[in-house]
Amino acid sequence: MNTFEWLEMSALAEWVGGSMIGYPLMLASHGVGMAIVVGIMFVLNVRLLGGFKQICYSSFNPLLKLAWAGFVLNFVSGCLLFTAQATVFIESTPFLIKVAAIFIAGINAAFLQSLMRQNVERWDAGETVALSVRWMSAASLTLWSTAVIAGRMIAYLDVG
Amino acid sequence: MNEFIEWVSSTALSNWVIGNEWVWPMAETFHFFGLSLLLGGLLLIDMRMIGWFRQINIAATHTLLPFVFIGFGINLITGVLFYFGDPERYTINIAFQIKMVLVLLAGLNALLYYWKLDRDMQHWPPYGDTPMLAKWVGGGSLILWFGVLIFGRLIPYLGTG
Repeated sequence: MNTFEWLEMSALAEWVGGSMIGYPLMLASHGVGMAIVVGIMFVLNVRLLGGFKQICYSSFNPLLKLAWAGFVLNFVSGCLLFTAQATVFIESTPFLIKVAAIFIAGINAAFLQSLMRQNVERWDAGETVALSVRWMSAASLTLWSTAVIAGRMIAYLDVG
Repeated sequence: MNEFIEWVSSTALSNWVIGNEWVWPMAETFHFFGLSLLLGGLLLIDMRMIGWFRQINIAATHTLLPFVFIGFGINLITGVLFYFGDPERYTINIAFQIKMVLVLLAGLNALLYYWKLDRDMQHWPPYGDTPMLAKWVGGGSLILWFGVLIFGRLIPYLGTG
């Protein structure tokens, strides 16, 4: 028995996959967390690319904390959903693409956040946002979109 | 109701959704994308209306509305596609029915925003507290739209006949 088979047989996986409430509760949480993370990141990235000019850059620092709370909610609910069908997910190409996209998007977001902490006051005072930051925003939009699209495709591709 | 379902099933749109297997997954993907736009924009607008995140100029939240409307438009179109692709199952589904009631209430709440708050906002302190009505409308909007999301997610699990 490999790790994923063992995980699938665990009591936790049994609860997520087998109880009336486990799977729907985790799916609903995963949807709520997605709306928070992806929603806030989309607004922030559009702002950094030149949209919503009246919303000041500094207001995104507290919003990013909320985005990370959504990220944690989705990491936890995502791990629990994974246990229920570990052997299927681990061989699903869209799932692996989704995880890779989120991993890179998360690192990108952490760098963006630290750059924002250092620069928001200057940006709000009128200094141009560096091209590298705008590229990171474009990458962020692409990566989060990839995660959403690939996540949705898990149910349709590769699952026999 | 049965006549309505029969009519929906007989439309060219219904046949198109059922006849092309790529339509459903494509529409679902857009539906998730749309909900991220809708709720992303609303999170900022509504939390500011409640009185949080006072770094944001209250009057500036107005500029996020197009973002919200694009998300809503995407989800209205893709939602109609789902309904036409499987009218019988959705019509009798309790989670779907609750979701539609919540969308309706959220729409009425949005009208209240439009009539009572949107135009007055310029006169509120830009970085200060908000009137009580704004707090209720903002809080109500978040509860209703997250309710829409949650009951939408529960459609396959709750009361399908």
